[in-house]
Amino acid sequence: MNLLTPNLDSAFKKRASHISALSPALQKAQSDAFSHFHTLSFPSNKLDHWKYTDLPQQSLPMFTPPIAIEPNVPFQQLQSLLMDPHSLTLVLFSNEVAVKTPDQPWFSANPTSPDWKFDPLRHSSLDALNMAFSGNEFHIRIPDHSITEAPIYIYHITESFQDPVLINPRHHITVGKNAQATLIEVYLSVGQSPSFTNTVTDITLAENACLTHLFLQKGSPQSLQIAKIHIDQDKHSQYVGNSIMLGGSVNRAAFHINLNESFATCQFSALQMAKETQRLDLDFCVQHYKPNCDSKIISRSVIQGNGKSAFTGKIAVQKNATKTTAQLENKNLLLSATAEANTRPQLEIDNDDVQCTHGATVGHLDPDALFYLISRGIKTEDARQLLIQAFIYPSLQTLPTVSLPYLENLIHEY
Amino acid sequence: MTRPNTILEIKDLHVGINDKPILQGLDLKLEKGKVHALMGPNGSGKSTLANLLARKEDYVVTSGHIQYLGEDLLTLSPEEAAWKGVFLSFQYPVSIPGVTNIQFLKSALNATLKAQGKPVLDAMDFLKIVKDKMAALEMPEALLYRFVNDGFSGGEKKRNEILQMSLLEPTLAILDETDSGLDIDALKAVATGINALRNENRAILLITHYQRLLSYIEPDFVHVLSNGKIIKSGDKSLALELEEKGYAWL
Repeated sequence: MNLLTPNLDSAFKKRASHISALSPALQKAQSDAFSHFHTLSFPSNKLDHWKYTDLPQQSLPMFTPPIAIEPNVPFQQLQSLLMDPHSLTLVLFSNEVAVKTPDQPWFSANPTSPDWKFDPLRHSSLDALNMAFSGNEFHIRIPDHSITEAPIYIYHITESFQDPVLINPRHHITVGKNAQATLIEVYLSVGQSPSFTNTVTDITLAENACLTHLFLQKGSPQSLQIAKIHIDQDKHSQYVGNSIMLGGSVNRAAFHINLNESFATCQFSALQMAKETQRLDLDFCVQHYKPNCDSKIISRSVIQGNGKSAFTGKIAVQKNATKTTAQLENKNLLLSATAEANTRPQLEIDNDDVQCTHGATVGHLDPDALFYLISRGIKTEDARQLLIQAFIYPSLQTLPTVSLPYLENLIHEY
Repeated sequence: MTRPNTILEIKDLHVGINDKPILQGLDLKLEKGKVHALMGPNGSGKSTLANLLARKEDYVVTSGHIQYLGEDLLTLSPEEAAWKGVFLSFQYPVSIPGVTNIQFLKSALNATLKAQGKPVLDAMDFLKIVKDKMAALEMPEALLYRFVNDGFSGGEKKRNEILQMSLLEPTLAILDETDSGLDIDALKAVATGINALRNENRAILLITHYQRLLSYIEPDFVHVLSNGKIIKSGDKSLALELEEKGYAWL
């Protein structure tokens, strides 16, 4: 044990005595995971993929998983947080089910599966930490051939009023053969104290499955929200992903997408909006393993104040993944002299029969466009808002329609 | 003292950009109901004057002054100038992908009406007004729902400028090379639009290289700008003379 985390260590011990239902296999897996976490320690900006994300290293060991939580949320407060209170909805409060609309054959909460094996290529220290403290895994299974018309909502609300809390949600989403679904995941942090939400989500798309996904992170100024989303796609499957980050002290989402079989497509749009001293980091990797797959990634960042954004986008095309088409675009808009954007678009291509493009820009509002609008009587601040709206427009084109009014409001308030 | 029917009076104006003098002692007076044409060779300062009047910030005024409706124009911000009735039709209108034309036009008109203390228009009223004005300019309605000037042809961009002018109803309209890049049909349509906006309370400053526009929009006065000052003024016959002889004889 080379990492000093007395709070975590004692929480891990206490937890074992609280949850008697843990099978010996799971206890072993979690204990392995915890020791891997200790070996690897919290990620720091010495790691390449964390180069631009400054986690508050000093205070990280203070975050502690709560032992038992009674989700006790005033219904009205909850309603105000929801995008569409009438839809199929699962609300998790600090990882405990607070509200679940009845009759959901697609949802189940299962004890964490014990067959976790540490894989250094796939699992980071935070994955291991997540596993070590995981009690329940939440499963969404869309059966083969079923089409769910209404979006499925998962609200994950991390509540923190006193001690700094660490919450480790684990989600598994499976979309069956020929099935279609829309999934909206919303991560909110509420309360005045620091919180750390460390999410791991696995998504599997079977043959010809189609998933539209919105992953929205909206933290409080004291919150850290870190997420790892791993996506596996089968033949002819379509993944339409959207990541929106609207602050929090540190927000990071790592999307790792594997196009495992031919004719799979991935279309991904991301929007980051940072202000004050926020740190937003999108780490994106798509692997083309088989021929005839298509990936398209569009990302926009708007940074003001002392905010800082990072984008790492990698498209890797394996040797036999011929006829690949891939597009990667990241644009950053700096609204203040102290705003900072870091962008690293990367292509790794191992065969000649591909069409790949990538590009990144960092810039300011176009003074000619601003003057054009103002010269028509539009107030400077409104003109700036119009141009920001125009800048982010391409990153909002694949969002589930139902989320648009909610998001437009959120973005406008920002 | 400015006379009541004077809209704009420029006296001995010296303006530079990045230490380079551009306007060097310009005098010009525009009156209600009149159309003034400003001609001159490339680099003579025509567009500098146009942009300065619309209150673009890039310029340094070293001396002289500009009275607009009895007020010092140089103290106004671009939006204040717009609210008080100054309008510049741009030589190169900027395209803004991501903002629809209708959103832009409505924001501009309502911001101006609000600043002028007039009631703003709701979506329905605005749509009716803008559609009428577009019909007069022979503009297809589809241009409302496209992004501002994005992928517009040269003619569509200039018609869109005149549409903005007809919506905002300025007191002083400056048209910077509105004829450039237009074919004959587009030129006629734009000229018809501008002629329809001539009235007794408005002054129009037409900046152009060519006499051609002036055969569709007949000016009351023609001025020649060269090396940052007006070197000759006359009536519309001066434009014909310039077309024939060029600028060198002046």
